[in-house]
Amino acid sequence: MTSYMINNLVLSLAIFSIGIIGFLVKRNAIAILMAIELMLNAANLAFVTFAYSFASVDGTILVLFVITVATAEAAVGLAIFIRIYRSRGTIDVDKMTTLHG
Amino acid sequence: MLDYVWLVPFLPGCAALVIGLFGKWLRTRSGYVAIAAMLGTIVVSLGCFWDILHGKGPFTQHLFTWISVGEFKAEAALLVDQLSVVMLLVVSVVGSLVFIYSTGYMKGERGYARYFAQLSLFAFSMFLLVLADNFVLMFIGWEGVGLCSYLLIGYYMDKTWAADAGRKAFIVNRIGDFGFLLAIFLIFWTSGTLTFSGVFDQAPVIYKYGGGVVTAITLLLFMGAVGKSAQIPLFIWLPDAMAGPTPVSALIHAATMVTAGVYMVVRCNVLYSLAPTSMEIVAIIGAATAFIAASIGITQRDIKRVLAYSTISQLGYMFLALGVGAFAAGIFHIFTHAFFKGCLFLCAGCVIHAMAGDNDMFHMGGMRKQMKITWLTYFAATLAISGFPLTAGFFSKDEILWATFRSGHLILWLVGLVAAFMTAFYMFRSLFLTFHGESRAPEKIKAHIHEMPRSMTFPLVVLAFFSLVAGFFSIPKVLKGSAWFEHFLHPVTNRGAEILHELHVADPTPHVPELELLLMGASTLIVLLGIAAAYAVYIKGWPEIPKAWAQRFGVFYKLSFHKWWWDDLYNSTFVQGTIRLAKAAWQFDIFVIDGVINGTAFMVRSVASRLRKLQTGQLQAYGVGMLIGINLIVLLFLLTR
Amino acid sequence: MPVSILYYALFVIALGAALMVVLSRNTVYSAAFLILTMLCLAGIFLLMHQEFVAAIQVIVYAGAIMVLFLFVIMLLNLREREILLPDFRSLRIWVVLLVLVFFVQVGATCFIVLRQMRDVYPPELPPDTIPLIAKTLLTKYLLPFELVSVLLVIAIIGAAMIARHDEPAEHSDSS
Repeated sequence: MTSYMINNLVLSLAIFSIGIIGFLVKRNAIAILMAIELMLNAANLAFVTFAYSFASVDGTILVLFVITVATAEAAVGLAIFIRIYRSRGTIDVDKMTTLHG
Repeated sequence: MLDYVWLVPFLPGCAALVIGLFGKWLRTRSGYVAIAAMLGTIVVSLGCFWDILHGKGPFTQHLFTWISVGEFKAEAALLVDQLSVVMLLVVSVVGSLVFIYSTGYMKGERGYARYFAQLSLFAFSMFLLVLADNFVLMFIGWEGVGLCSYLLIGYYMDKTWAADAGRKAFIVNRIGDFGFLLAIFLIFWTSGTLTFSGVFDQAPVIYKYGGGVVTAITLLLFMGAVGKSAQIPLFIWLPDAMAGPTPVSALIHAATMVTAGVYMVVRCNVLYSLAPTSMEIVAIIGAATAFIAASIGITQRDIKRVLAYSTISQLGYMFLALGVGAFAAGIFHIFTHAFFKGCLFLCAGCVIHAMAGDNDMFHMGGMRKQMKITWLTYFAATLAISGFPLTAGFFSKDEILWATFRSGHLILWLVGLVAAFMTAFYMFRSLFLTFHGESRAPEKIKAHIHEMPRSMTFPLVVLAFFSLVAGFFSIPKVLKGSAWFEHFLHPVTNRGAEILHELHVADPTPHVPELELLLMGASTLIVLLGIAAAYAVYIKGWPEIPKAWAQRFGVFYKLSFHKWWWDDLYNSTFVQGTIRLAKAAWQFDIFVIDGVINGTAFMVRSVASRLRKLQTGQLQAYGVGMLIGINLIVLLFLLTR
Repeated sequence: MPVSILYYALFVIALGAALMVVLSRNTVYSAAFLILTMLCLAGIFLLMHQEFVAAIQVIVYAGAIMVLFLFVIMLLNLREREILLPDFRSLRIWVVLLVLVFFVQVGATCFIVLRQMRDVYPPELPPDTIPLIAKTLLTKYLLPFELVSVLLVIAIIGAAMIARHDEPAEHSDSS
């Protein structure tokens, strides 16, 4: 069943690349956060595949941690966007350039 | 008792800490804390002395490893041997007496607790310096006493003259410390160790007799000693150091700290024995200092300045002794000098106290009637410092002169003899001017003159007693004595001579008892002559003869009164030179350096104002940069496989 | 071969849904496609007998997190303009090129690394891994486990603090 491995890795890499594209071209902050979720999912897939192929549960457990961190990140990130939207009336990252040089 | 030697620095150190932290609360009780600590050190010192006396040879107490870097190791270790135990006794006994005296002298002064905290810190540093087992720890103590000296000279810090005097002492000392530090580096570089035993044991092997390295080391060490012990050409700070409270002058600038240089040279006698050139220089500088300082002392009007110049002169004697190889004699002179000079300074403190702060001897006179104890003790100490037969100073000074003569330095011996004459003259001059004749004080002050409280007279009596009898520790063999002191120090001070003996260099001159007796007679005669001259001028001939003499020997009088224009010379060369250099540097700084700096800043700013456009604040722009970076890293990984 | 067919179906749907996440301009649609991607991945996990992760993926990810996303989108009541924000068209071609380079390079790296390991494939996991996961999580990974729980608490408190309504005075200050 090692064919799972190559296929899964290709799928993981593809989803990760799509996530990068989404992260780089989207202007909606929530969509960017979703692109990040996409990348995290791709990573999870790779972890699970390696855990399965190398008969070790370490990868699986790492997936649990990734999911937990993703939850925390989504919660805080969305809270920040709510705050920004409330004070600026937009969640367009193109307009969030207060830290420009 | 040797195991408890760590208590010796520890107790005053603790006292300094406690008084420093809780001085506001302790107030006048802080003096008792400090005295208690010092009395404790006396007990421990006596115990150590007892053990050493009973042959418990050199003892090293390892406390902890302080620095350890590669080969370099600095241990905090204490060394107790014959030499350090003598210094311990001197410092703890004289120190305790001065502490007791200070409770009376400093009564009601502002910063009473600060005074005792600093004095205790001084005692701590001095004990560290004396007990150190290696050059690094010794340097710590060395700098510590320098710091305390600075703090205590500037005790009246709201007065400009006191603050200036403190700074002068600090800066002049720094020149010497620089040499000391260089010497330490050189020692470590050449021998790879810094412990005394380590350096001295391998010294005969690694240093050639009379070689350049050992000569450089010893000269640099001597540079440190010259600064600390106020020798020519760095002696100018000591007279100004009299700006501090008088007990401080007694303890730090007469009895203990200024002898640190002598102690250090004796400690390194092995190295000095290997460098005959350095020995010559030490002897010459010592003799010259003894002579010049004594000649200045003759005309000074400030009682503390007279004593300061006399201290410099006596320190010159000590270095003369070291220079001619009589290390034990130098230490013996430290020992006796601590008592009589401490006593003199404390007496001067009493006198100044009675005169309501006036130091000028020409305003004094006739004070023996009101201040009997002070007068008697001052008289005893004056006899001792002048070298009157059978007093402490007689034995120690005579040993130095005899050693000088025996080693063949006839000119230096003659200079020393003349200085001895002048010593007797100016010391008795100060005695006569202060305590004899008619009072020249204003009426208001005259009524104020009174004997001091017992806390101040008690130390005087003890010190005066020691200045009379301390000499009996070392009656020379020619007077049917045992030269016990020299014998006791023999294991330490004779190491250099032993090494020279092994190298077949030294040629001990035969002992001629008759000659020694003859010289002793000659110096006694000189001393009596000096006393008689002072009597003739300042008792019989007052006030006409001093004035007439001052006019007749106008050139010499001015030379002496203006301290050989030494301060002025330094002022016009080094001080003015430094100021001029600083001004030039300032101009350079403004135009060249500031120009470069401003130019650089301007360039950075103009570049940055363009570069900051990169910082768009747009998240995705950074994301693209990150992606490019990741691509490059992975590419690098692929290429290097 | 039904398993294989199922697998490839999931593969294709996941890939397509992921593409649609990025391509659809409406954020709500994106979220929906993201959920679909996650479900497909959960299916793939199930095929690899990773029931536990699959369950977590469905419950926590697709269930909780994505609901949170949708909830926020609704809560903000985004205007049409905000929901349908145009993308950076000028950047897009360069980004896609860069990502293609990334894809090729990382793929090549994986290929190189895995080819060296081909001969040492160990046996695959036993079907029932949940007890093993539990045991490992509470022994070897106990400290990270606890730390992650602390992180979650911090995130909850932080999110609540950040998103709460301002006092009137503060509000004028932050606008």
